[in-house]
Amino acid sequence: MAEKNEAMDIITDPKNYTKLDQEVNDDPSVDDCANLSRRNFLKVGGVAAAAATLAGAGAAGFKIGRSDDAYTGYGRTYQGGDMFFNREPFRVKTAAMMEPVGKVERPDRYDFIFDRLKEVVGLLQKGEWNPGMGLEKLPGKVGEYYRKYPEKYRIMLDSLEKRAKSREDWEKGKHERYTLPAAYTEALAHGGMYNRYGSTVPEEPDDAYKETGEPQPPEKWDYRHVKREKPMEFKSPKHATDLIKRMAHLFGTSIVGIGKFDPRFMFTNKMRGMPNGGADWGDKVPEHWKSIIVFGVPMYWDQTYSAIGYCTSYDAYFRSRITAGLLERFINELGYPARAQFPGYHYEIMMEPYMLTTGLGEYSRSGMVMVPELGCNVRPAAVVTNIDFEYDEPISVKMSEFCMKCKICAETCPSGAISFEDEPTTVVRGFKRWLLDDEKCYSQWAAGHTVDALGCRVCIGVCPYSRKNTWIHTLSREIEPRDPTGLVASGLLAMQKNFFKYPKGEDFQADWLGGKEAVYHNPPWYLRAEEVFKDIEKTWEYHGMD
Amino acid sequence: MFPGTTILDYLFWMGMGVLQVLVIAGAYEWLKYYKKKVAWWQMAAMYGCFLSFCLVVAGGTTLMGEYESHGGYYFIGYLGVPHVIIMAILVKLFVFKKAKA
Ligand code: SF4
Ligand code: SF4
Repeated sequence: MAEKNEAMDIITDPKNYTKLDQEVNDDPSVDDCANLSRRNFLKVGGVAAAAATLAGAGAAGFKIGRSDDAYTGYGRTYQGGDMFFNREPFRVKTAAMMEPVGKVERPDRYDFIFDRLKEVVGLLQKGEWNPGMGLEKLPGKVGEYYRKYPEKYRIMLDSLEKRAKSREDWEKGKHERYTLPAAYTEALAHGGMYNRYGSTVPEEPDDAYKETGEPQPPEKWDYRHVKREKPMEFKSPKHATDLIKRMAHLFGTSIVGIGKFDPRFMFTNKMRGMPNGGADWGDKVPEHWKSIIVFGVPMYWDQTYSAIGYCTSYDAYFRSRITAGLLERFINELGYPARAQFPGYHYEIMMEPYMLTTGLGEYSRSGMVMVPELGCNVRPAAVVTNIDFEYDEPISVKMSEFCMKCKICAETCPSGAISFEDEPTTVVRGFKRWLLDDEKCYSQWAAGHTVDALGCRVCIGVCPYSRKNTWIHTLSREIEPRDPTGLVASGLLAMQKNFFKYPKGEDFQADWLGGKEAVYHNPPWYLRAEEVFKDIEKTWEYHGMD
Repeated sequence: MFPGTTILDYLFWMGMGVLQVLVIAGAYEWLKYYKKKVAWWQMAAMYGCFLSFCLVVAGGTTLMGEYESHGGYYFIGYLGVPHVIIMAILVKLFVFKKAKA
């Protein structure tokens, strides 16, 4: 067997020592003394530099991770730099899960949970119905809907009870712990978004209808700020696309895509500005709805990571509404009709399919659209108009494929609303989908420990795609879709599942449901009441990652 | 890197660059001292391994910075140990190789 030459043996063997005075002076012009000190400097300095490089790399990494600059969707918004993922190599004709597998049906207003709930709560308030009268007596189309899905009806009743309990809890003292996230939420919601009718930013046709009693059909409303006889003519659809995308970024959005308006994804029986929100609108499509500009911003990362209690959607809602309002007005000023579609529920359309058709992202297990830059942490809005654009095509970045293996959101969801099926199997209005059980999800919202007892968002926070814009996540984002073998995705998923800790789904529940009010990440200092106010006794623990 | 500064950030990365000159010059000086001959590509392989190790440390601390300390420690543990082993093998193969007969 060959003799082993261990590094330490060689270093410690006196035979291998070279006396300093025997060293060869390779540059005769330099005197020995100077040469020696130069050598020693390089020898010692080299080792020190290696150690400093290692320490510097560690320190730089830490700072990059902690820095606000890593909060994707905030840093370079106005220049459009937050939309950093190059979609062009990934363009496809039809996005994953967007190939119809049956007859495509348009969604109806009662397919939207908030329209159902609004109706039920309205009936309760007017005393026209109460749960004691039973499902059979639940009137109108909402009654028809729930009779078709009695299990959903049961969950809806349970949610109403939970919501009442949650509110009671809040009044009895929960508000103390959640003082700061509540103030943040209320500032954005009522200082920024809603007035007495429902909306301040942007203008809302339903408000105009309620104020004047005059119906505001889209043929009137969408042209209301048009002053020109004739719209400005663009040199080409590409010029229109470039300009409007630039303006969308300038008005505050992080991502933007433009597509053809597709009536398949427009609600029936819904039209804001018309009596009853257009409950009798039928399936008409306004003729001037030709193109749709779709855009979105993320919720602030600290709050998203500290869902449920410290998180609010109003943050991103507010900012995406501002873009919608400004863009709507800008387009009107150029002489074209424009109609903003914006959160909370000021839409005639379903946003997700349009995000897919305009190539912003892909459909996910949790039922939301994931975009490469922000994961599921994106709150979209849109403007519909009749400008001719150069349309974006869908993309395939293998996010949906990743979801087939991942399931982290399903494992962490406190309400069990997310499917565990390996592949989507449910046909929803003609498309195969993982179907989010909206009623179950809402039952978690209703039990939430937020100011309005509404919201959860755990699935957004824990998704591996919803990560900050640090080099380590960005590298993963860039490499994974370019790896044809799928090995990178499997490696990343293995790391995600084994290296990272998540609270269990049930831990996120309110204490009265046996949970710990856990958060994924502990809240930042500026959302902890006990850190800034006098006389707040901390009677709770934070059950999240620090 | 340094939040809120436009100057220190660039100075830091310039400093990191300067350190690399010192690392390589120092390594050559040590090799000369021990009278070891190492081909350029062997040096490149060892330096590459060192840089890769630095990236692993930076990756782990980035996660720690993102409040994912658990993930960060595991990242350095699982990916860093193989780096140390590979580095030891490279040094053994390229520096302390058996002299040719
Ligand atoms: S957590 Fe996993 S399964 Fe869920 S949406 Fe994100 S990637 Fe898909
Ligand atoms: S919001 Fe909460 S309850 Fe709803 S799907 Fe996501 S994790 Fe589940």
